[in-house]
Amino acid sequence: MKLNLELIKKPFQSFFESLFDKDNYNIKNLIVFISLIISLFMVVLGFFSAFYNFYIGDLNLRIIFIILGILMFFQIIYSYLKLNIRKKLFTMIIFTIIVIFLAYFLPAFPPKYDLRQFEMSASILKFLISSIFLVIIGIFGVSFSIKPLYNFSSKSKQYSAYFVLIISIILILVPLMLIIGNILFNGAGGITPDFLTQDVSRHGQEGGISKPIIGTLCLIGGVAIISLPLGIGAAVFLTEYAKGGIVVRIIRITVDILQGVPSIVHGLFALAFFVPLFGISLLSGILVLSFLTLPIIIRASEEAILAVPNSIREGSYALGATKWQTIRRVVIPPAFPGIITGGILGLGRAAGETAPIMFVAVVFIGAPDIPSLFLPIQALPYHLLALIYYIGAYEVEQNAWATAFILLGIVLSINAISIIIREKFRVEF
Amino acid sequence: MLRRQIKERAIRYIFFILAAVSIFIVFFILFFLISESLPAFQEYGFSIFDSDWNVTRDVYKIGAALFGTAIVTIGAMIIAIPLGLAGAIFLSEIAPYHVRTVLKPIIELLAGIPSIVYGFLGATLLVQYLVPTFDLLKGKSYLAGALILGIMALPIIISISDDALKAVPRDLKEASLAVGATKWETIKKVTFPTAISGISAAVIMGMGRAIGETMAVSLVVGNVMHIPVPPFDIFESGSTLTSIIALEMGEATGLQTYSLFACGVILFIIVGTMSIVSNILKERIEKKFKGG
Amino acid sequence: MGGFGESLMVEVKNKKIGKTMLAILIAITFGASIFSGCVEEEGTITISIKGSSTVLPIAEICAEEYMKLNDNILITVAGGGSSVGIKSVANGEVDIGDASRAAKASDVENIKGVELSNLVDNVIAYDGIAVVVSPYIKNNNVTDLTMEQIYMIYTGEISYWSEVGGPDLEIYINDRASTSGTRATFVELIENSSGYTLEDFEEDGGTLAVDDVHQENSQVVSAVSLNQNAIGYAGLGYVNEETCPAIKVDGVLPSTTTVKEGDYPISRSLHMYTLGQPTGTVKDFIDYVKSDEGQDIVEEEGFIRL
Repeated sequence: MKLNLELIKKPFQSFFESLFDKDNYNIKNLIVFISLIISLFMVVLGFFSAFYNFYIGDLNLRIIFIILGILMFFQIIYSYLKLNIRKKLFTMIIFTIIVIFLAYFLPAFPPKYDLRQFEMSASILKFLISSIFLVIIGIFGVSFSIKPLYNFSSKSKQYSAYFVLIISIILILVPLMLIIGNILFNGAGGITPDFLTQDVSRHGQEGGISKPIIGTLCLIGGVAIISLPLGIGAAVFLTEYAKGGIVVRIIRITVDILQGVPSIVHGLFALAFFVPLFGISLLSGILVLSFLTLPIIIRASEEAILAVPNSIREGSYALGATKWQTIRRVVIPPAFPGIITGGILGLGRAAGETAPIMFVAVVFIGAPDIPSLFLPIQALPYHLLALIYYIGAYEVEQNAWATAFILLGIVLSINAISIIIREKFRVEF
Repeated sequence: MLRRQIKERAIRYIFFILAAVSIFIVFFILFFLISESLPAFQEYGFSIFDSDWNVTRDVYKIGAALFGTAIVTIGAMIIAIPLGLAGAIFLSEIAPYHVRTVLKPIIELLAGIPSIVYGFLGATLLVQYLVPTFDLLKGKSYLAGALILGIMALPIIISISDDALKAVPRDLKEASLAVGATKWETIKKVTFPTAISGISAAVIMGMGRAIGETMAVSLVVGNVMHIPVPPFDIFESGSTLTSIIALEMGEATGLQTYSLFACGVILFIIVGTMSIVSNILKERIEKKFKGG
Repeated sequence: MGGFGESLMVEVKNKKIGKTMLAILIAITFGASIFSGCVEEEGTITISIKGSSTVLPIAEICAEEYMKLNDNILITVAGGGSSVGIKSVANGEVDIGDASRAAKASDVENIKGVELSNLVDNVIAYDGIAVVVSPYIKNNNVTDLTMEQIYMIYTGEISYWSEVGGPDLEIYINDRASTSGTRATFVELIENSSGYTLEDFEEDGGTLAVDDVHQENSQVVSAVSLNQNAIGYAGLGYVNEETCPAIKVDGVLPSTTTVKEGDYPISRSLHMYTLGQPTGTVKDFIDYVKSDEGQDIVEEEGFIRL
């Protein structure tokens, strides 16, 4: 936060200083300051009007652009006279001309420009185009306003760049907040004890999600049993037993490939291989999800084991321990938090997957009361999918949000637990 | 002594087998995919890449899905690469320590959200937003797909690029500052180019995620197997390789199933190649910093 | 090394405890699962149903209620369309095949050893295919269409609502996948009214002017309710006066009476096909569907009882 404070403090400081310093009245800082504010305002306004689909009005748009144009103009004059900048002013002049140009032409844009005449299936609406220009011009405005502040040096470029980066970060965070916010807000209302303990009923409109929750938990449990030992064992081999060499390279490459295999392709494979063998069942689901989780666990375990310094291993050998004894008592224990973290993250991923289990393990209703290996199960992600298809046909919207809430809650809790374990049991070397 | 040696060897072999399982799995999957899709390739040959998917006439050529995957991935990358790199630079170079410790888990949180949840929000909020914004007939479009995939690819690109940028040796950065460059100039001309291999790997992995993503995209892209006229009409609905598999897998029979498996094979090959390429890139980084 | 070794031992102990607890937890889950798997295996009877998405809600709710009454019976219900349902029951994949149209010889021609006569038709309800539009359109003067107008809309000759008395909006046309029995019946009636089959139409280079293809009735309803310009068709049970209302076809509004009396032009029966006469639990279930309780559910879902 120190960095940003500096940036904001400076114009304030010099502004107020020069304001009360009658000998050296500095209009420049005043203009720059207002210009910055206006530009920032334009950016924020642009984003808001794009998001909430409103148009600020022809007059308002004109006024804003004209004010910016005037301020830019004064900045140019000042920089030319007082700061003696010549060549670098060129872009700023072009910018000002564009701003004035837009002030005139942008409000003249038709309310709806239909692209269908060009065979496209959309129109450009006035609010959108004005929002886009507001944001772009605003960003440039900030950039050009910072320039006189730092005498057009490379420092001004730096702060302009920082500004863009901060906007980017905010943009990245917006979808996240939208997703979590909406689910919390819309879903919380549907979470009742009944909802969590009753089975799916009436196409998901009534009843609850007890069986999907149980099903998801069973899937996670089964995946843990299969992929944890397999994954940790594979990682142990790759790190301890066969360092370097062509075999290790091949295994590493295949692990990477496996990690990249799309979840639906796992589902296809399971449909071709597991379903004819075991039918649509819990077992098929556990197996396909294990294939998906395995590379994640292998990679996390590898990293955790590699983090254990060699000195510890060598100390153990020096004391006369065999390789296996070393691994078991000296290497694994400190690596264990990292391994478990990775394992739990992998399980979290498995809990949220829909595509692999869609036609391989789950049904919407009709799973047995006590989950059984060779019978189908219900699961949260698939339940949510079914409800999404039912929206509009049945009144399942509230329950859909609630299901998303529970699913997200379970997955995020699993991730949170893994982070807590990682931080709490971290062994520092 | 001998017993112990035998035990040690046995344990070694056990671990070897555990590791070899993953090779086994990969080849197993590839084998099944290829064998199940072979009839489709035999039936159509290269014309399988035409755009003609018609259930009534029993024709299953997957060109439209390939087109859809391409368009949606390109769109997603246009969104995710600039934003992702900006985020990574901010996270690794500019954010103060406390901001970074808060932000990094938040980004990882984004990565952990299940794709069906993205799909749910896409189908409800995003699609409903696009209709009035662009005066569309239906919100489900390539644009919606690109937007959602862009958001989903972001955390990966940010995370891996951040690691790559952090791995740039401090002396390089400090040397640049010492000769008078500003921090930003250092980032632009020293840090970023040095980390370019890792960043490329990040982008490739992000692309892999976008290409392979199923549920989120199938709920927002419309699932119509055609190539729109004109082809760059991103406001039209379409299909991707992943979405057509998800849609039809349950009820497909015969040639349709084989064609769906063909989509799977193509997906596997594309993503597999990208894995290998990013692997090579990562090895290059290690060599670079070990030698330097 | 001493101090570090000690703390390492403490860490090791903690981890051992944690590891053991985790292992026990997983073992219990898995053990219970396997154990119940063995136990359930012997006691549970499963019935599998697949097919028409029109019959789907009836099958689903009947299955739900039936399973409440019979603890050891497990019924799985899936969609897929009438064609899929008929084929699946014919080749033995499922016990009951739902269909919203009559089975034809062409359905079973690729299945060895099975002929059309092997399939037993259990009619469980009646239905009308409603032509549905968005509430906005219905409120704006489009309350009645002729079969010919519907035909022209779906073939693209009419593309704006203004051409049939409505607002100046493009018509957004919803269709079903080709496996749908609802679609088959609908197409058949378009063909009858125009005297011109879909096959001829497509051979002449025509394509249906369809904007969206859906797998299930519920998705058509969903699309129509969410889209201002939409038109579609769905089983009567899916009609919702507020969100997805039906319009009159040739002057007749689909309802229990008009379908039963035969006044509504697009009517049909709903079938549960079995391979051979139904026996045992399957027979019991189908009897349940035909019973008063089952027929109450039929009505509850908006269809017409026997």
